[in-house]
Amino acid sequence: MLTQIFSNKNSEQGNSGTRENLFKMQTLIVTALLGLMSIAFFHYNQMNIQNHIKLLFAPFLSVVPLLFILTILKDLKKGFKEEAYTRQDIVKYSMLALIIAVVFIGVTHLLNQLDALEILIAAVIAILSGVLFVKSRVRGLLGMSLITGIAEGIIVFMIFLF
Amino acid sequence: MKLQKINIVFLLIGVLSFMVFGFLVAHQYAQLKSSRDVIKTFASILFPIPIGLFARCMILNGKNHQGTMSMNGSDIRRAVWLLLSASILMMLTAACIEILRGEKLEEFPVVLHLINSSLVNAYFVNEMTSKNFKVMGILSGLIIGLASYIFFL
Repeated sequence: MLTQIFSNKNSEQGNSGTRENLFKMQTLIVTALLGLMSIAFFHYNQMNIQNHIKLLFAPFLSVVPLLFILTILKDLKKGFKEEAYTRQDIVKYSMLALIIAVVFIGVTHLLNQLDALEILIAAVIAILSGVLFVKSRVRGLLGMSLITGIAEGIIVFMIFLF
Repeated sequence: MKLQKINIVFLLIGVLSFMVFGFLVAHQYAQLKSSRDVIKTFASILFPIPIGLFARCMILNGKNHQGTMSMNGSDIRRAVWLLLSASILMMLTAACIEILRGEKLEEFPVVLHLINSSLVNAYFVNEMTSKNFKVMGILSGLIIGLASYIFFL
């Protein structure tokens, strides 16, 4: 996977295989960023656990619906195309990524205002399960632009506003 | 990945960028007051990587990765002009940032990290997808402009 991402030769799997691997890499980066963000907020905002039983149930809020949706839903997109994307597609998906990035700057700003750890954990796990849903069911340039938007929103908030 | 297939300029740019990262972190180390600065630095290094992956995913085409321009005189002249104008543009931009912020550029390494890692990432993406000489000229010009601004002015 890493060889395919960093080499400039066409692999035997073709373009769609390389795109698939780039998509997986992007998902890993987003997961790492979410972890980093929650650690940073926990460190700086002096969060404390207000209700221990809520901490136990926080992950279930989003994991259970995710599993349910994953079992009943088929793939929304059938993977990446083999040939090149058109200019119109590129502009459209870049705009989509930009909009999602702006939205996620706002979401991260809201998360920064929290002071209870259990709400932060619930929110982060909700975003993570959304990412997982996109990764497994919306495989395609649409999913790639969504995940890029999430990553960029978090990073821009971390650089300029945090 | 076979090592001999990589362009030597590409390798050099990579090594240089990592040296700049190392230098900036070492330079910044004394000024780090809290781990908030560490997080900001880390985020500014990481900033262009998702954009780079996204761009590569979109631009990737089925053709062989040959240069898109032929090696004749007018194309080379155009690439050199692009390089020169991009380096001058970068110096002007750096001067503008300094005037706007009212302090030296070395005082806020986050901006330097951002510019450096974005440029290097764009270079990598161009190298891996289309190998367009014009884009390569512009990016090399921007890197040269930043380096010479820091070095001479």
